Amino acid sequence: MKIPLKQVEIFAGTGGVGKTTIATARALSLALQGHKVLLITIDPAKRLKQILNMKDQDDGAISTISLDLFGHEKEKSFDAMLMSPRATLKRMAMERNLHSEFESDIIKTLSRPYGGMNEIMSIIEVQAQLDRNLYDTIILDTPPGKHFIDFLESSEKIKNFFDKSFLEIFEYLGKSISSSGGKTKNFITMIVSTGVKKLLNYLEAVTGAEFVREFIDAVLALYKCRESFLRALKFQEELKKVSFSNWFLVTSVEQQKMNEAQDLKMEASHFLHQDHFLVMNKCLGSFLLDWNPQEEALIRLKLSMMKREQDLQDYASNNFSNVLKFHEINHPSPLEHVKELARMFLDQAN
Amino acid sequence: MAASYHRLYIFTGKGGVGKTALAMAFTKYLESKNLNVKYNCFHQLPEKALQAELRLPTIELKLETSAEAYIGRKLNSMTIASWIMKTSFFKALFQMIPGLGHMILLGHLIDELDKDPSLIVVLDSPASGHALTMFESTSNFKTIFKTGLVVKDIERMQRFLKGENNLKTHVVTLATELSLTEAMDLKAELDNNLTDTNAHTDLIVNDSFKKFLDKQLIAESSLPAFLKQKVDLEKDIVSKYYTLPHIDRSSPPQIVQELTHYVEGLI
Repeated sequence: MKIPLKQVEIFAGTGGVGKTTIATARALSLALQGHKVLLITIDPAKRLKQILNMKDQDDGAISTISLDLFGHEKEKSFDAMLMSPRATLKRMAMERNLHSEFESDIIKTLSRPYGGMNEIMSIIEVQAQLDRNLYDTIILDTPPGKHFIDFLESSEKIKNFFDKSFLEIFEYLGKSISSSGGKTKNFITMIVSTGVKKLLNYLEAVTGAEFVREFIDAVLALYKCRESFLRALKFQEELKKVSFSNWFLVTSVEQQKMNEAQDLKMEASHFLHQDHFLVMNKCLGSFLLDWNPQEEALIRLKLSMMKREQDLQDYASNNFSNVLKFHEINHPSPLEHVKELARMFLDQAN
Repeated sequence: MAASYHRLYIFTGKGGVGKTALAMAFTKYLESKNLNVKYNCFHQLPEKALQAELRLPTIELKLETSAEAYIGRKLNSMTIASWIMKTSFFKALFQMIPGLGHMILLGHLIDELDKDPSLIVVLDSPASGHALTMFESTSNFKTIFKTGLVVKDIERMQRFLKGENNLKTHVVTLATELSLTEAMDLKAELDNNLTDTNAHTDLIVNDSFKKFLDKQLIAESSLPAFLKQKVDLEKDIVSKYYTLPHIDRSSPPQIVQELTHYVEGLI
């Protein structure tokens, strides 16, 4: 099955299925064919981070990985980046000279790795990297499971967040914005008509007045970067184009998560086009067929393992036209996993 | 001697390590001891069919409803609360700050535990990053909010989490080095978030073929190469941590039922 070359490849999966390892293997296989590749990963396993030489202080920076790490020509390489919401936000702030605005506790907390801005910042980062025009393919390893849907929907959130009437109100309320006389009048009319002032009073009772002030300032700081946010919306539209993206939905035989995989497929259906692939990872099929156990307990074990794999296989062939099957690799080093999976990618694609 | 139970058990870990099956099996086990136990899937989509087949006692909370009830209690008016939840300001607040939702759900669960001293909750937490969000959210939001009613609630939640025999967290891992390294990292970060507390965090190794063989008294020599390799890679790990065997069944309800026989050590 030929996998066409695209500007963006998305790897999504239900978590714990080897998604990041497979995305890395895909980057390696494309680099081996001479393509310029950037791999953006969101939550890699620590061991994988180590082999890719991604140190935590490098978060958000691009590192070049020579293929001699994988036993190939050292002249060839691919680039990799560990997504850091804070680094992306910082870059946006620097571009607009907004240092002090981004020092607020709220923004600092939100842009922590688990603070909740992962998905939105990833979209912005991919868009920024596309604009640099340095790569044939950008491979994006998305957060697992339901958070992948959050990721897709984050551009919708951006739209809601920058809802015009909502933001105009904040623009008047922020302490860093000085309002002229004429505006004040409109402002009061707006406050009365929207009930925002009343709302803020209620909110103050729950959260404290200082929070309300700081939240407004944080929103304003983000608002000043709205162009980056809004430009990232382009990305969502582009994703729907078959000429632009490949989608890989990764599952694994050892897990019975067909329901979850099906949910992902359904939720992502307005993004998916014909070039989407189901990856069945950790298949044991050929090993199991060659095994003829004698003891009763082992016969039972074999049957249960075969049944699990068959169930996934049935699900795959009933729901996907493009299925990639990768066999299980038993090796302690993730490096070997990446090498072997890259070989399988090349075998399947050619 | 009566066993001493915790009030809130959290099962967390990287995706795909079997948290849900384990949390369900543990709930069934506690139920079999005639305890008032409820399983909660937090903000994941509930696996309704599996829950029904197992007749699992559950407590289901919806974020929107929890948040509305919470704000309603604070302001003494459900009407105002439902109005607030519909405003774009609050929608934006929840969209931009998912941790806020986690905190409200956790707060709601703690309310239930306070109301009924016999209740035990088994929380099937979303994959690792998001379990951290949940714990971090309490201290994060204390930093953010500084004053106000929410901070008082956060302090109450933190008191509960710190209390003796209140919280036990199980970090679930597979018997591979890659998975274990992750789990140990997560455990360290959780411990870091729960310092100066009586909360316990344990590592649980799940789905071990080595343990399965030992249990069935099967000699390693009768294994095919691909299973032998798997077992060899497990050896160092299985000897060090509480380990559950691989279950030789293929349907999820059977797997959960079978697991109930091995979860006693998790109390």
